[in-house]
Amino acid sequence: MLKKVVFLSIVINIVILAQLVLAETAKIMDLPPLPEGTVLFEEEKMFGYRGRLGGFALPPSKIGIIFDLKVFYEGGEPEFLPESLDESQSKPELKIKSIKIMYKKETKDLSFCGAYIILLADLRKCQTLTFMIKGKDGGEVFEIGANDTISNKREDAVYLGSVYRYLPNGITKDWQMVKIPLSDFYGPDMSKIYSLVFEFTEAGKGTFWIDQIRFHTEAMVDRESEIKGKGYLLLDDFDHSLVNLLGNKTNAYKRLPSECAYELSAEEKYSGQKSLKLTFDKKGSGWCGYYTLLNQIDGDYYDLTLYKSVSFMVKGKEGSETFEIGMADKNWSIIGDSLKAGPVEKYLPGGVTKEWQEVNIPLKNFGALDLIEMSSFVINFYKSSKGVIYIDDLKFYRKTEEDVLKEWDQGG
Amino acid sequence: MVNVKTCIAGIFLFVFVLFVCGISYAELLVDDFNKNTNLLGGRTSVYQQAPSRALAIQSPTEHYGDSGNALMIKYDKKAEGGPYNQGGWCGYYTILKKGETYFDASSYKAITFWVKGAEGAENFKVGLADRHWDQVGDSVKSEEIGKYLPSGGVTKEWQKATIPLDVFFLDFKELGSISVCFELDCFPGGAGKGTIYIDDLKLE
Repeated sequence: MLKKVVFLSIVINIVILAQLVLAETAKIMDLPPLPEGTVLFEEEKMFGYRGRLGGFALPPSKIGIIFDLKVFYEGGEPEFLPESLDESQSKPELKIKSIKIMYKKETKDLSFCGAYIILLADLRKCQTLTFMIKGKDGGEVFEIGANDTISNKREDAVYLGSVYRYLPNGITKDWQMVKIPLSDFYGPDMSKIYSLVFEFTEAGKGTFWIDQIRFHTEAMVDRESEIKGKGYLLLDDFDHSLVNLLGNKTNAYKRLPSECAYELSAEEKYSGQKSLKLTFDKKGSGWCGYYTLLNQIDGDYYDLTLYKSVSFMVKGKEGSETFEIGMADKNWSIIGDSLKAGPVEKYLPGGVTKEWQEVNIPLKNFGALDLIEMSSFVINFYKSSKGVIYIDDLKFYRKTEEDVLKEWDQGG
Repeated sequence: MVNVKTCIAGIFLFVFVLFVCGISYAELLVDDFNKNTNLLGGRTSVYQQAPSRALAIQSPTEHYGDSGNALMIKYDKKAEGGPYNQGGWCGYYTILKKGETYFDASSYKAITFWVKGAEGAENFKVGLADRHWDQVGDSVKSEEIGKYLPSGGVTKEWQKATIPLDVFFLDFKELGSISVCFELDCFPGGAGKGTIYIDDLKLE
């Protein structure tokens, strides 16, 4: 009897230990559940269970999401999500399956489509999401998002940008690992994650497979080291998403009668697939321009102390278009303005032409900015004029450590 | 009849499991300074108000242990100028919270790290902020660092600093950040300049 008690106590302790320490890597079915008392609608309770796949589409766009036996990541470990069971058997089918997503995105009549995987999980202890992905043809593209149990009720997921943000060379026909810091999901309550969402925002069709979805307690992405290696931060390549490559908001601003419209356009590009097209009409009164944020709204400001200049490529539709370049730190952001480094002609002696030219502006030219807490980069149309400009490859060049130490010694 | 050996083995295993449980919660490496975020994924940076200034970069040449980086902080705390003619302020911080979710440190007893100075005799205080102090953009400061070092002050050799959490009167269930603060009263006349190295910042 006592033997049984001792044995039982050992088993109980091992179970407690296993529960207390979240495995460093967890599969979907191993994630901690939603906190007790999380409010779910009746239909969410009936419809939603962990591991369920689903899609949404407004015709003529189409979506399909299924488990696939034929294509999977070899060498990975299988995970048996409820729907991946073979219904004809009482036990899980011992075969590896991936998730296959097929989409056709049309732009007509605000048509949309997307797919999701229900998690119903508390992700607070996780820092990184990884999964393997391969495309049928390569070049498939989607935006990644998450719903918490609140945003799910209003069908309003938080998106962190295109998959290109995590795979700079895009999806290919070979398996690649996508690593996403969960801190990039700025907004959702990470203790109450309802689903992982894949939304298709660019017109086109494609098929891709996802396998080995894993959640890790370790931070596996070190962006600063990547930037340090390249020597610059690419804030936006204007190729795939209206959020920039830091996952932050971009937009045009205007006060009538002046106006500015922005779009990602394939009409012109310096590199990649598209550039930023700004169509402006600056009148004698009002103001207009474009901004891209370095911080999340209400989030941490961005530290640019180790950077020396901002650079971008520009060309005009006609040539001779003009604008000034601004940047805002926390204080300028709060008052809704920016410090200007002067008109573009200051950095392009011949002005904007119909050819691509690089504008490179030392950050010190923006005046007394607090580089520790930076908020935005701004293109401001300040002269009464009308026109179209294209911008590509917005970068911040980083100082070398030798530069930094030299500046320190010089009292800079 | 109960086998006594089995019983003893069971008790040992029981104690071992509890011990492992204890270990898993006894220590948390917040930063080994080998990445540009801390190991909780939080942002790290300097703070400064002119004319004081600070610079933090990873040092591959100075590190505690066999490999990796340490954090090098250069500071230049002025005594005059800036707001209220107090010389401004400067320091370094590492964020513990994730978004608006504060870090629960209620199971830890101390902040520890390894520290050395470029010259020796450098000085600073350690700051800690809970939700309240985080929201006002400040922190509660420890005593001068020498109080928590075996030799009584920063030297050119690595020493382990151990700062008990109970010197800070804070809500440890909701911590926002840890900071290294070059305070006015750390230096004779209020001004001080130097370089320190920090490695293996932990909660124990």
